[in-house]
Amino acid sequence: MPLARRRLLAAAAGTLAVMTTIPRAAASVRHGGWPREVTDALGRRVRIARPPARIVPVFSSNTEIVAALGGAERIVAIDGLTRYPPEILDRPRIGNRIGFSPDIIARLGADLVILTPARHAATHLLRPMGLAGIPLLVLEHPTLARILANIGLVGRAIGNEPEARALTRTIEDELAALAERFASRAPKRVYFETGAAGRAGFHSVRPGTYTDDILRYAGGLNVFGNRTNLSQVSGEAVFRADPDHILVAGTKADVAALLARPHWNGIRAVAAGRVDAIPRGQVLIPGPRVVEGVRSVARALHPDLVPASRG
Amino acid sequence: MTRILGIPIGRLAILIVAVFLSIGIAMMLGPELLGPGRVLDLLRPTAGDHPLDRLLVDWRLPRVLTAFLVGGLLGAAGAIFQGIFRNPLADPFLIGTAPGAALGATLALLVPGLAVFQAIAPLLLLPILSFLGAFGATLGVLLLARLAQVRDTAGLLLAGVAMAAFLGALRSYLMLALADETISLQVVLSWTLGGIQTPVWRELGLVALASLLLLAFARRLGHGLDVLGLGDEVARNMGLPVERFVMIATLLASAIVALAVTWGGTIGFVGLIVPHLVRWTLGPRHGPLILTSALVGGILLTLLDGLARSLLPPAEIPLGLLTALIGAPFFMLLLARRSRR
Repeated sequence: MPLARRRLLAAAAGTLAVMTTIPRAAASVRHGGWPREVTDALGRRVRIARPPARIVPVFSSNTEIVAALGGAERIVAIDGLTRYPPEILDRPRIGNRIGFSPDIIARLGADLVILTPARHAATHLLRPMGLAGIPLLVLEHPTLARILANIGLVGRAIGNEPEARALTRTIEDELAALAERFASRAPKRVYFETGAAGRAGFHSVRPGTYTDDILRYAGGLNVFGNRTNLSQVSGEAVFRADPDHILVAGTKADVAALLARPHWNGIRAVAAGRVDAIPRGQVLIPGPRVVEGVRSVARALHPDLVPASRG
Repeated sequence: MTRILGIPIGRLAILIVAVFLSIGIAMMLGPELLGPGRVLDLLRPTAGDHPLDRLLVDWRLPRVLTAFLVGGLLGAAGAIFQGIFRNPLADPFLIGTAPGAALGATLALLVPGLAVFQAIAPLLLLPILSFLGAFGATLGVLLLARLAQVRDTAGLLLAGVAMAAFLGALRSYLMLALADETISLQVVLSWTLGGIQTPVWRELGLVALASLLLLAFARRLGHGLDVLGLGDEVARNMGLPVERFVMIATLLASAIVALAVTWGGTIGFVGLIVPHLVRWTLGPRHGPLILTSALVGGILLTLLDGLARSLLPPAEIPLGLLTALIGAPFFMLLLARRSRR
């Protein structure tokens, strides 16, 4: 048998295997109020005929929302760049930044696609999914409030409203509790770096984004918060801003790289050791883990009010 | 007229004054503008007590001097490449150095496996990989040309263009495939758009030494490039081993470019326009052209880097954007004036 055909058959067999191993419907789906319509971020009215049983969330954030609402076992495929939560990492991949395959989504028998128009490749799915008659829900996440709204929207779209309400309430309660704790304290002025190209190209969290919101809820204040221009800031601007604390979205290695920059120990926060790494997944993925991001940032900025044992 | 290193002494004096002036002006530029007195204060022996002094001496000054060196290297490399290829459109990045360097930088910035190295020497991975990428690309082009038995400079140029396309595509693929949702491609973009990497003083000393050595070698190419300008056949008849000379000149120019991209990313346009500006006033002889292009390139980039740091505080404009945004209209203006003459 020619190699190409053998591969094709193997791929088809793989797809079949996947379709049989993933349950067609989970017990948690409630059968009231279907078909239903939801309005997505593009203002499209998306009609969903029955509780989706084969969901394809595109992008980590959407996958995390579906999984957090108890829909993990209904996820039949994920984006090639999704790395969380662990229980869905064995699902087939529908593509990555290079492009997404409408064919795979259709072949998997998806009955709901959830995506974010963050990348050009993703918007290419809109039309093919429409032609294939697969409902497609578009989410946007400019702010933390919108992320919470997205959780509600996904909950309604997949028929898990109670879970969505519970999750949103938990997050809101935690945010309120933190706000209460910081009420009597002036926010820490923070330079929050999301990336750097070596010793140049320092990128700061931009005002008006959900990451900026995370910082605010955690009792911090973006030192570049009142300046709405490029996210790339000059090293000298960081010196002059004289932040109380520096946060780096990344790992300890990223903090080490920051500390090794020439003369950066001349910044008071650096000299005093007030530089911390915050896991990227908690502050740069607009899903339910943003609350962990708020917790991590709060713990770094106010260790006395948010002790490490909390979480 | 008295000449030093082939440059009329009057012009050389003006250039040297301009070098110091540009460095002085760039020292005044930043998120907050400083007066000349404040900068001159730094020359006092007691300077350095105040935190702002330390910032200016240990962060701004090394950066200003690095911008000068990077601009100088790009100017010189542009003059050499235009001489080798006898093509007014030749720029330092023509034969694959820019995409080669960018590929190295992309690997350094995005491949998670390299984090181990990053942890050992946090600031060295990016410069090392971008240097290797830039220089390796040229070695690849020369090897390709040799394998394909390409003997003329036009063939070499085409091999370079092919290599550039190949490496550029490879880098784009890696950018799309390696970056996950939490890694902003803006960081890679920032690097590609150019920006001066600030060295510590010891590194700056090494870069300056390497730059001087490379420029000293480059000056020795002057005569060969002049002869080459008469055409391969004439050059051969005049005793120039054309193929060998082209290879050596290409390698040297690429080493110059590689050093420049290591500390400045891929800053376009300077290497293209500066040799033209110099040729218009100084004539086409390559010895003085290379050195003068280095000085003018240095002056230009020092000033533009100062603007990049100070035009939109606290933001910093990627330097490569400014070189094209300001350089292109300025160049067109000069071109128009020259054409009218």
